[in-house]
Amino acid sequence: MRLLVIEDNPKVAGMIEQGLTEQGYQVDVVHKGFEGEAKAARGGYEAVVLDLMLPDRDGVDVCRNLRRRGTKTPILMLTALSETADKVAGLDAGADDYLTKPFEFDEFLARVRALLRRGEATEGTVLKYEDIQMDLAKRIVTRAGETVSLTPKEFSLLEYLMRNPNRVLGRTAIAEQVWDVDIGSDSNVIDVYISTLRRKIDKPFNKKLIHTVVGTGYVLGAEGAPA
Amino acid sequence: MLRLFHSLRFKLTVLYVIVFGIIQVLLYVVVVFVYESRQWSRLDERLRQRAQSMIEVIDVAADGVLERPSAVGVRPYLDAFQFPDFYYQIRLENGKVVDRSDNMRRLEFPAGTVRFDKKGPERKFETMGGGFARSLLGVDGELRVLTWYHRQPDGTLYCLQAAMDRRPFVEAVVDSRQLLATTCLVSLLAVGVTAWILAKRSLAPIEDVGKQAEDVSPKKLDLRIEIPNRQDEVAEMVTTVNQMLDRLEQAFSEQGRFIANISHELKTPLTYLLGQAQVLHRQARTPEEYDQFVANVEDEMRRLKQTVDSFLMLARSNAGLRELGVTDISANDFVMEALERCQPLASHQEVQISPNLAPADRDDADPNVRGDPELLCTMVENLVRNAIRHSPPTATVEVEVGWCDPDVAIVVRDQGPGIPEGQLERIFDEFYHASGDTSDADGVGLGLSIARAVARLHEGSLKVENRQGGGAEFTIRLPLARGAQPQRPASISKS
Repeated sequence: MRLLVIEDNPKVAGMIEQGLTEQGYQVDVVHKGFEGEAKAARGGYEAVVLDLMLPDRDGVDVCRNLRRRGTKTPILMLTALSETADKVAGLDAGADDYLTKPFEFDEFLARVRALLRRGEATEGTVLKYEDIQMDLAKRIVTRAGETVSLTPKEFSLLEYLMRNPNRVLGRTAIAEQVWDVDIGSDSNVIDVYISTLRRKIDKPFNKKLIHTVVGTGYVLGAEGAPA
Repeated sequence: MLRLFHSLRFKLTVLYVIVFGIIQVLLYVVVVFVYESRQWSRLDERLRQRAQSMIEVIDVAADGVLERPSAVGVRPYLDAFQFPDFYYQIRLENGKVVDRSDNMRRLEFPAGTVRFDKKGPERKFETMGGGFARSLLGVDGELRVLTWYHRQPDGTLYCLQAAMDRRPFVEAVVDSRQLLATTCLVSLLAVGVTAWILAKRSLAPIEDVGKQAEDVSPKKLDLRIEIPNRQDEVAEMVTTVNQMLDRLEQAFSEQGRFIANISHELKTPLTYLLGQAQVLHRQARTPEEYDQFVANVEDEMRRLKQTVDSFLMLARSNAGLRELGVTDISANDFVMEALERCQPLASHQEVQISPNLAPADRDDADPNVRGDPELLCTMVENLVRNAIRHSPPTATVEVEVGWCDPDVAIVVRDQGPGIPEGQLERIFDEFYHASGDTSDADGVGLGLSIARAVARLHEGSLKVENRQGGGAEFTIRLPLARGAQPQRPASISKS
């Protein structure tokens, strides 16, 4: 696996290179934005690690340009700026993930691995059920051709339902799958989110697909709740 | 010089002079009008009286005028020698002048001024100037003329014209106008000067306060302005200013303490690491020693990162919301995100998190808050971490989101030891540690102060109470976002 690291501080670049090489990756290091952009565009890399603060060019611009030129390599952005506005700017420019400095190296490695997995996956995994369509790569949901706007948690919840259609899913199972919180049995978290999901997915359309099974859980089904 | 024109003293003086000046002008106009009307009426009245007296005592015939026998002592009225300023002439209907005063000499009132048509008034006053008046008076001037048509009992109709010289009256009127105008101007000047002097005296205490205030500076914040020995607006102002100085002094000293604390928190790990590195460097050390040091470096650096993150977060919370970062986000969302971040700690402490969210309201709206999702998430995270750290194993931390129109309320309840009564407000101070307790959200003592700063930044509040039965309850209130801001699916990445 070949990785490109675009980082101007030599010590930080050296640290990243050492860490990645010892994990078995082939690493190329570049210290300037223009040079990095050229190398990344030429291709041959499985993933790019890009620092935002570069001496000759803004990292956000590098990212935007690469996408405009058609480079589809996954990009992980690194920066010291942790404000929401900056994150949004980076992700909107086409980065796949965003990590603030200083970071735990383990987390860095995990995110690189996640990027590489995503890169391998078939372009656009799409889940379909009835007239609902979910593009997992692009994070777009449509029903009967109309786009539905979901928050990240609502998206994960629907994804779980869509992967298990016509199966009654217990509330505990849903909780474990969608959230990293150990939600107690008397909590209304799942009910609240199912309810908002229904408002967006079921309410504007004729056929109701999300059903409650009293005492057990919820099910995504076309023929109404199973007896 | 320009400053003079802007000064309060100048403006006050000008104002008074203008107001007084307007009053003077009005007064002048009124007095002049009233006085002059009276003068002219008097003149006309005198003419009329004399003419009337004459008519009462004479009989006019075609060949002359006779006094009636009963008119004893009236002759003086007709004696022009006694009244050189009084002229008269009697003209018959046929145009013949039958009598006139001696001082008329050979002159006659202009014939055109007498008309015997039946439609005119019996008596008419008019002012005549021009050639006739000049000839009669000997100089340029004006005559006041009364033209009176009278029919005697025997049927004879004649016209009596009586006239008086207007000049004395005109002179009196002009004199009085000049005198009045002079008086007005002089008093206006007096008012101006007096106002100028008095204004200075009234404003003197304010100038004094200003001089004293000049000395107050960050280095000398304990100075207070002397309250003058009076009970007016100036004393009130001084008291208010002194209170303001009290508040400033307190804020500055708090800031000083804060900076001292930050320096300490940042420098302690740096001191250790720098020093230890230098010590190790002096001799060859065993791999175990280096290994130990590297492990310590990792620990200290992590702690330092946490400290720096906290300071930055606090600075952001105090700085204000950046327009770009603001969006609508459901309280359910950022609370759940915060809980996910706290789960590792909860598992480690064997504490159960029990969340309860707010379902959509009657209009199918989510409990949306307008603000910075990252800050809002950190605020809740700090409260929950704090609760977890103070909870014994197997305890439960309840986190509840609820509607509280016009706000949304987020409540964090724990089953820990609670907060000592006297400290309920002080726990939100920066670097606060309850006596002997160092287990707060970020290890630095800023967690709760950051939480409160974020709540306030979003125009909300954060309060704490002790629960009956033990433990603490923190309540955040934030105003609900209503209205048309486009809802982007808010994203908070896990970094």
